Amino acid sequence: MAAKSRETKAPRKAAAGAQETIVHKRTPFMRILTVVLLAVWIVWTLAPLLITALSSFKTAREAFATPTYGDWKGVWNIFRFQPTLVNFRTLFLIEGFWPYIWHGFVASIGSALIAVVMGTLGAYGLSRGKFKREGDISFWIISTRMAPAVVVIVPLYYIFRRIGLLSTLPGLIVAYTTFNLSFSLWLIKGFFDDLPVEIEEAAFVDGDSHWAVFTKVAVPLAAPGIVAAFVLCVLMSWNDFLFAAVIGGHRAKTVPVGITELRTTVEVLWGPINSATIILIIPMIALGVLIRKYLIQGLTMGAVRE
Amino acid sequence: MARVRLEKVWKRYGSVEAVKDLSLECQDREFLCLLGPSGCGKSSTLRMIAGLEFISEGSIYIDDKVVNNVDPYKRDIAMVFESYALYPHKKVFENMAYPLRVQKLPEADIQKRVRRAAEILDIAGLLERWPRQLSGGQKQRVAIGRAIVRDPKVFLLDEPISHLDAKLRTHMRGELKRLHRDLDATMIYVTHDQLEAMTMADRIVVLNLGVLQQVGTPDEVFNHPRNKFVAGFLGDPPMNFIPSQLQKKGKGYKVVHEQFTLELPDSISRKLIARQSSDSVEVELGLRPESFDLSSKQPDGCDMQGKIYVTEPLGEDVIIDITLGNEKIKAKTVIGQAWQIDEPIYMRVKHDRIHLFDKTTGESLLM
Repeated sequence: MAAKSRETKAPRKAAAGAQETIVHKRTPFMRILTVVLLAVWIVWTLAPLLITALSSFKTAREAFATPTYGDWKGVWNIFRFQPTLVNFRTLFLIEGFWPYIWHGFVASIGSALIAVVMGTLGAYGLSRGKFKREGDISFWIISTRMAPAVVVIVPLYYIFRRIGLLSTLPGLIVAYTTFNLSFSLWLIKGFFDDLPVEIEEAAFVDGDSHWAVFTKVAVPLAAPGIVAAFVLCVLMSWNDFLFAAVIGGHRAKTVPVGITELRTTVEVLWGPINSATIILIIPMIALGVLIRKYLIQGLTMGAVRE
Repeated sequence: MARVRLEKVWKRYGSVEAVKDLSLECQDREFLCLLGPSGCGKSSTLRMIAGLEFISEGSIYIDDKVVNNVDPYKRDIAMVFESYALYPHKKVFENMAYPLRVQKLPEADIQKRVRRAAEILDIAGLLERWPRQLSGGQKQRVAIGRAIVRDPKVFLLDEPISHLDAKLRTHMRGELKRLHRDLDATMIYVTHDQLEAMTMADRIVVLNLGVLQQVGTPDEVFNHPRNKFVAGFLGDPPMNFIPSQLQKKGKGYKVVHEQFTLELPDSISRKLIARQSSDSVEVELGLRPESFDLSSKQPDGCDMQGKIYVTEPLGEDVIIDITLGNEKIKAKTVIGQAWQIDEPIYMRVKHDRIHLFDKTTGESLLM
């Protein structure tokens, strides 16, 4: 009996020990440090956004109003203002900002659509097909993303000028697709790789053709990845400055390029710059929330025996 | 329903030969079991019949029609996968209705067939659930349900119950066998579990390393194994193999081991004479654990004497490990007598249960 109780005690002790090594007990100091670091980080990232957002609804005078030296309560002056849409009015009515938003919208959505449709097809082929030098092809595709965009911008400029794509929306769409396609292909391929092939085989046996298996089973199951790829492609294009400035030229300016135009030789239009920045940021935040929802989905859970 | 025939089928993955020169036939309405250890090519064979793998060489016929280059969706087969492979984005009802929707059957017909299949499988209450909300046994039933809603030529089942717990597995064995009878269907069933094969199959196909070992009814493969592999694979505990010498003795034969001499009955001797066995051959004597009469006192006509190494009671029966010189063998008997470790034990061999295998080729000498 004594021997038995010793036997049962020993493993319990060992198990407790194992647990301690896995779950580190957090000391109060560590907890406080974590909170402080996170707080600093949040202020660091959100403060510029907040100032931009508030300033976009202020007149120039209010935006640049600073409290007198030593007046710490004056910090709250930042929230004391009469909201006005004068900056937005200037932006759209005087500076004519609408086309830039339209260009950015068309170029980013257009290139994201092309990248995702072609990327899904390519990713499925690479993930499911068996052919020679498959690894090399996959690597070549991702290798196109290894160099920074600046490297290709000069040759791309010459090519586009030659074929008349320079300063056009289709040109901008093609330019964005060059880097969106390889990105979306690799992202979506990861999702296809994770899908158990038996599910597709089951559909194949159940009477679906290759194409029906792809559209009715593989694509719906990889949908979170496809949506994520689409959103990220839109964000990257919408956000891009380099291609828009060089390839887009005068006739296909997007929002980031448009913002630089608000810094004229005469003055810097801070108010409209703030408003334009908000217009640039809001769709990105909205898409960011959307992508989070899709990425979290564990759609394949429970479909097959794990 | 249909017949399935394989003719000299090979499957190669690069330089690996998974299936070698396999020819077999599954009759109409037959329950055929492909049995073998992992890597024996049984799943590759089934996948070739389904059309999910290309055939490297040879032909596969479904109802006298070569289907080598026919896509799975045109073969009219239903398959149950080892991993169940349910559609995670569809509820149970839609999972089962999927093959019918593909055929574009009228909605009323689909409803009727799915509900009937669900009733047969006792999953009528689960139709509105998602696959992720099901237990392993329920998923497996849904997977079977998806196969039986339509009326395919052949059912292919790839280890459908091997991942269930032991109790549920025993239950499902009976259910599947009954289902086969009720559906009156041709079924090809892949398993590595000899018990499943023995209990369910009309005929068993034993495969090893991609090579066909034996085809026969459970009785044939169990009681008349063609070679040492088949003899050792079927039965639990497995057959004992004792390396010994086959010698001529007068008109008959005897098996000589340093610990015993076993005179062979006339029925076996006649087969050996017919084979024109030479006077002295190295053989493996095959004796199933059930083919001994055991006694702790020396009986008349005792064939062998050994020492008890250990006993393994199983409730009803007991397995006794016996040392026989350098050999260790297992014998099974009804529990009751108190067997003491290290005590001598006397064995009488049931003469109609003797198997003899060629030492080098492993082929049975009694076929």
